[in-house]
Amino acid sequence: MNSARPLVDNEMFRLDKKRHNRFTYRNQWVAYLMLLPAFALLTIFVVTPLVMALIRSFQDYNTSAFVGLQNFEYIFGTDLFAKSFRNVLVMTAIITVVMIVITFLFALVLKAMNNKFGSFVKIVIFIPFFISGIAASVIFTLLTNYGGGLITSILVSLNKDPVSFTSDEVLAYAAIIIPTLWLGFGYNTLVMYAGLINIPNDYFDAAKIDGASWWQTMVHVTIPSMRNYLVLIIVNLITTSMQMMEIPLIMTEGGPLDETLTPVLYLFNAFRDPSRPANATIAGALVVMVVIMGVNIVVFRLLQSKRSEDA
Amino acid sequence: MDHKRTLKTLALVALASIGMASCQTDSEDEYVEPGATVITMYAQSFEDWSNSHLIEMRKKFNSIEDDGIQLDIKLFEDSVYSDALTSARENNAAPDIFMISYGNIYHDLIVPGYGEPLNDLMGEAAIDDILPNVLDMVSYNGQVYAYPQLVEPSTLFFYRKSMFATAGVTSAPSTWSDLLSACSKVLPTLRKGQYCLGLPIGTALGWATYGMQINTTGGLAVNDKWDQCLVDSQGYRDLNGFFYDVYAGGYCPAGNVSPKGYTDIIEGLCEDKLAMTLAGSWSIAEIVNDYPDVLDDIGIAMIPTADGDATKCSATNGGWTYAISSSGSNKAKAATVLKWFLSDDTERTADFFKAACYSKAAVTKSVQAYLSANVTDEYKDMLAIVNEVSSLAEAEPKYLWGISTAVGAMFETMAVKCDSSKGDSFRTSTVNNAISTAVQTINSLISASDYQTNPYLS
Repeated sequence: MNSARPLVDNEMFRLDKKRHNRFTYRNQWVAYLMLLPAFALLTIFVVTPLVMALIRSFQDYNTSAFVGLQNFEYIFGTDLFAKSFRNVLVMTAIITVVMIVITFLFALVLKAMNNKFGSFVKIVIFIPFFISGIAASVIFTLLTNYGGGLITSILVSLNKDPVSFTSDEVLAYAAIIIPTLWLGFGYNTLVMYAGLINIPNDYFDAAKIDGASWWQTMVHVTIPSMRNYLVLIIVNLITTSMQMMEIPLIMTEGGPLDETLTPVLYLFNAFRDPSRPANATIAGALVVMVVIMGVNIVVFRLLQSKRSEDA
Repeated sequence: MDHKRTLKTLALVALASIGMASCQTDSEDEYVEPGATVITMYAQSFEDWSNSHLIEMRKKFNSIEDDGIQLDIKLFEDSVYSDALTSARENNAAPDIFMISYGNIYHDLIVPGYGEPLNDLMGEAAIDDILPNVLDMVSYNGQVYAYPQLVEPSTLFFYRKSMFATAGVTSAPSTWSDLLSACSKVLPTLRKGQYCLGLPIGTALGWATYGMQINTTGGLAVNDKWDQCLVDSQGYRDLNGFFYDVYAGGYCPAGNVSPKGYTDIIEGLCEDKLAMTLAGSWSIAEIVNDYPDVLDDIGIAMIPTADGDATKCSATNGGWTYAISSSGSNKAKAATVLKWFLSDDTERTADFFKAACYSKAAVTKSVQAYLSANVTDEYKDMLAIVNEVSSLAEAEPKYLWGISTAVGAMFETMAVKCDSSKGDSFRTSTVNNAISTAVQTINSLISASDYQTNPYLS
């Protein structure tokens, strides 16, 4: 056999695979080592607290005695907790629908701009994203404060009665929803914008050739092409809205009459109240987590079935 | 130490570190007695005048050169005070003396055993000097667990004399009907952004109305044993009706007119936003210190009540006491400090109330008598009202806070649901619905497996 004979393709493949496997086995520990920090952090800050919370939810806080489902019975038997879910579902629905509509429309405007001014606008609308919920609430409190906020000052100067954002049920919702929309507007607009500019122009050209109107193009080309971006935004909005706490805490303290109390704000108040069982609060936190996961799973399932149809 | 305790300690140490960073110390030019035992005192930070007074007292105490005691005071903000105390205890470094409010004495002092009984440490004379209604507030099973410093009636009636004069109101209203009449006269004289009457709103409705509840109903939301809801009564119907009427009449602001709500509602009165308001006695110091220009224009009276009977309780007494740690190793010396501060010298103790512009009531017979005899004309009326209301006031209830919030929500319902365009039947049904919601909430709390009935009766 000629040692100089060139290797045929399948021999080269076998050799490559062999080298590849050798490399894999020899360097496996490096891979694990590099993954270790992530695993360690996840274990310390995610897995351990979750397991501890799960254990605590079946224990008495003071004695650590096993109490079965007692903490869950307490939390499910608390009317206020149920009411807080109703409140947050309404808020989430409003926030999700309004945010999607306004950010989609604004992204269309941004796409149409497509110049230096557009870049400037993108930067400006993204700024609120860097502000915390607490800071945003304080800013909006300066506007809505009944005793001397900007809105009160303007109304009084116009010889009108001030409006109270904390004692009117509708205005209290507005006092929470508006800062939330303001905070998320920039981020969601940019996601929408990214989705819009990723739609191949061929689609629009084809639609144009077929004589599709602006509305038909929007319904049959633009929106379906944005599906994955929309799902990302919907999942984000549902998750963050259902975990809302800082804005209701600062703006309305959950009032009036607990109409703007959210589950996380309820848990926050309950955990600070020594007269309420602390481990029932932990059980409540797990319930909130499961509900949010459940909603998200439903959204993901909807996405999957749509992709299957496409396939 | 189990895991739970370890984690709790770590968390508290972290919080206490933040607390220590925010605590104030002042050690300028202070005499340090060589070899003296250091007695530590934890106190909450309040208004500037209050903090300055405490620091001044510490300097005076430490200037005593031969008592063998050096006093170290740490002032903490309200938000971190409890965590700082817990952290110190978990680390076996509990302060020798610490401040505690009347409302927390049972749950945070007696039940966990953090407080040393003071009868022997303070001595019979110091204990006997405490006013009887205040003595009840610091005692349990015949033992005194905290030595009182002051009491503050939670609800007094403040009004602007000039606004009353403009409206033709000649005197402070003593009954609800007088109050509604005064409001109807004042309302047409106000401009937009001004209101007749300031009342507690939101969470404050839970605690700032205890006095009104006792005055109107003869009791509180639950019976003395705390095992029966008493809200479904004519007294509570009347009280709800009062809230309905003042809000339906458009006499009250729909939201808070001041940044902190009820606790600084007096700002609204001083800044011409309110013609009259309910407010705690602490507001007097705020008026004197922050709004001296309107001091002469402000009148103070007992709150208007259903029947105007001035001999009945119309407020609850809140306030602050000092306790000695049961785990401390220098209890006798800590008691020496407490006696120096609060009981040995009437004039020295009275200085605090002068600094407070008589906005707080004295808790011992000797100091109360001294203040009454030595008050300047400027503060005479204020002191008389504060002392009168305080002497009739009862302690804040110690039952579950959820009961108080249920009652507060009931009153808030009147403010939110009232409708002046609808008739009496709507008013009646609104009151009845709110009462039945409160009853349902309170009964569900009482029926909980871990609900605790009144330990003072067991």
